[in-house]
Formats: sequence, C-alpha cells, structure tokens
Amino acid sequence: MDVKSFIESGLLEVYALGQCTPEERALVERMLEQHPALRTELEAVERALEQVAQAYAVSPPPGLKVRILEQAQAEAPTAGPSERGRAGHFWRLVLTWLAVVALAVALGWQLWQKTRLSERVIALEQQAADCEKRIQQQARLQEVVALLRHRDTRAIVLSDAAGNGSAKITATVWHNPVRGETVLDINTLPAPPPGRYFQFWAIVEGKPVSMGMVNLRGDDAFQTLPFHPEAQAFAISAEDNPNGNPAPTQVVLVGKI
Amino acid sequence: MSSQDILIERLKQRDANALNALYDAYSGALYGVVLRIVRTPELAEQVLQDVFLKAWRNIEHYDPAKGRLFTWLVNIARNAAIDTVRSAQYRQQQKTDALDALVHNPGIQGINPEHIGVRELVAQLEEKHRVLIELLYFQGYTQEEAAEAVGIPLGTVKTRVRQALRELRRAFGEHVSALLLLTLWVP
Repeated sequence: MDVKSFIESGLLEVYALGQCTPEERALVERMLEQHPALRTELEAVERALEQVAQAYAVSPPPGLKVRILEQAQAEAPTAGPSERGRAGHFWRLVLTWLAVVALAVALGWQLWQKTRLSERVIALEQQAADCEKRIQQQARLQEVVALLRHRDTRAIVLSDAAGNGSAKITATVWHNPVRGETVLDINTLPAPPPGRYFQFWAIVEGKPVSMGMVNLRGDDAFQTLPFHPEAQAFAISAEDNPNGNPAPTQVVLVGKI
Repeated sequence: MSSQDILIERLKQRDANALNALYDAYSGALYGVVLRIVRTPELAEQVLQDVFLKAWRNIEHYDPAKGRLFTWLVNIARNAAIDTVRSAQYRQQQKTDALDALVHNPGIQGINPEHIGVRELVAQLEEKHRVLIELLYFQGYTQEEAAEAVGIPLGTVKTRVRQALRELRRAFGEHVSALLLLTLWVP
C-alpha cells in the first residue's frame, strides 16, 4: 500500500482514536515503521485530538495528585532501566564473591581456633591430671607426716649389711606397731646395680619373710610396706629376679627394730 | 530530544517529579474523558488514580514510535473508564441511558480557560462530525457501535471521522497561526 492511499483510507485517524482492530493496528504499525512520513501525519491527527481533549479538560479534585504520587512512591521502584539492572547484576556478583571469600576466611579461622583450642584443652587436661597427682601426693605426705609425728613411731635405719663402716648407703623404715604401719623412706636409697632388684624383708624369729619389692621408680619417696607385727628386723637384698626370690640372695642393708 | 522525550525518559527512571509533571500536563484532559464516560466524580477520581498508577508501572511498554504519549494515556483512561462502566456494580448505579443524554446534551462539564479558543473551534465543527468525535474518542465507542448509535452506515462513519479530523486539524492550524501572529504583534 502506498503512503497516499494509506492516508486516504483514514486508518491513521481510527488508529489515533484507539479504535483499530488488532489486524488494522498491526498494519498501521508496520506502515509507520516503513514510512517515516506517516509519523508526521499521525502526529498531526494525534495533536488535533489532544487539543480537543484539552479543550474539554476538567480539573480533577485537588487531593488526587498527592494521593497518586504517594501511592507511586510507595510502590518499590524495583524494575529500573536495563542499565541499572546490569549494574545490579554486577554488584550482586561482587557481593556473592565477597560473601564466599568471607565465609572461607571465617571457616579457616574457625578451624585454626578449633585446633588451638583443642591443644589448649589437652594442655589443661594434662595440668588437671598433674594437679590431681599432686593432691594425691599431698594427701599421702600428710599421712606420712601423721605417721612420723605419732609417738609410737620408730625410725629404723637400715645400714650396710657387710658392716664395712661407711654409712653412705642407708634407708629408713618408719615402723609403728600401734598403728600397724610400716613405711620405707627410699629417699636415700640409691638405684640397684644393673640387672639387680631390691627386695624387702622382715626378719621374724630369725627367718626372712618377703615383704615385696622395693619400688624406686615412683614419684613417691615413701613406700608403704606390709605390716608384720612380729618383725624383729628389716633387710633389703639385691635379687636377680624383678619379682623377687623366696629367700634373699645378697643382703645389702639390715636394721634392727 | 524534545521535552516529551525527556519526560518519558525520566518516567522510565522512576522519577517522581516526572510523574508530577505528567499529572500537571494531562490530568485535566484525562479526567474530562473519564468523567464523560463514568459520569460520577467519585468514580472518575478512582479511575483517574488507577490510570496514572498504571501508566507509572507500565511506562516501559510505551513505544514512542507507535504514537504520542497522550494517545497512549487516553487509551488507558478510556479503557479503564469503560471497564468501570461495564462492571455490574456500575450498571446498578446508573440506569439512565448514557447515549441519549450525550446526543441531546453533550455534557461539557468543565471549563479550561486556556483552551476556550479550541473549545469554540470544536463547537464550530458540524454537528454530525462533533457527535462522532465525542462517541469514538471520548466515549470509546467502536465505529460499528457509533454507526448504530447515530443510525448511519459504517462506511459513512469512517468518512465522517476522517472529515472531522481534517476540519479540526485545519481549524487548529489557523488557530495556532492566529495566536502566533498575535504574540508576534505584541511589542
């Protein structure tokens, strides 16, 4: 369709009046695209109609404008222009990556903290165990002190059985027949020769009775021994068997009650 | 870029000042159209509010290549007003024959002093042309409905619409020229 006959058809007027069928509208819009001259023609028609509408304008009630503006601004201006959309997309991406990095850092820090804390916990547990041990030692010492202070407690110094004078090697036994306690003070006892073990004996009616092995490895300087009410003397022998022998092999120290 | 293009651009950027300007420019003309269709100020006010908010939300869909901004707005207004009139609620309120009232009393309800000259020009249109503009443009009648209402063939409606708009354009042209001359002559 050429421009002149299209203008003559009056379709532009119908279009400007908003009265086209969908097919007519498609045709007009296609023609407008192809022939810029038609735009001017359409605009003239539209301006004429606009003038008519303005001629019959009626002022709306005064409060309406404020209400419309308030309502329009209350609606969130989310759907911005596409450029703003792209910018928003970019910032969302940046924020996402920032969040990922922050999360990784936080996680790493958390793990490091956790390791540090578990190390600390282990150290504290160790300290608590040490404390517990010290308390036990303290209690044990108090027991020993109570024994030492008792008026019926006697100190029996075991000395060199060979009797060759030098009293370098000694051990003390605290014996209390009333309380029924025998405690060996191993503080002064040196370590036995390699492959030898100290065994403790009570001499009852002239015969040695084993009271068990002397334990030198403990932190405790005092070793409680079995109490024998009829003991006349105490002896320490060096044995080749870590569990001791039925009879003493080599008596090292002897002390009479 | 025309001031209208700037206005559209700012509306698309959700500039509330642009909506303010849009309202100042067109609310009167649009209210006139809506009022002619719905006939009660309370309803017309409600419809006009919907029209501006609809335009505000849908400005993205307005394509300047397809027509002027006012044409787009007046189409929204006309359709909104017609929808209101067709709603069951409205029909119960209004039992008078709108067309009858219109043809015999073309209710010009307000006076816009700036456009008195134009109104006179419209009034000078031949009655047969004026009625058609009224029905098609202000009342949103289809050409078929207008043909039936006025009692003339559809072809005649098309011819007369065209003639009416030619007449208007010529009249406005002269009017604008006269105004231009006047302003030029004033020292």
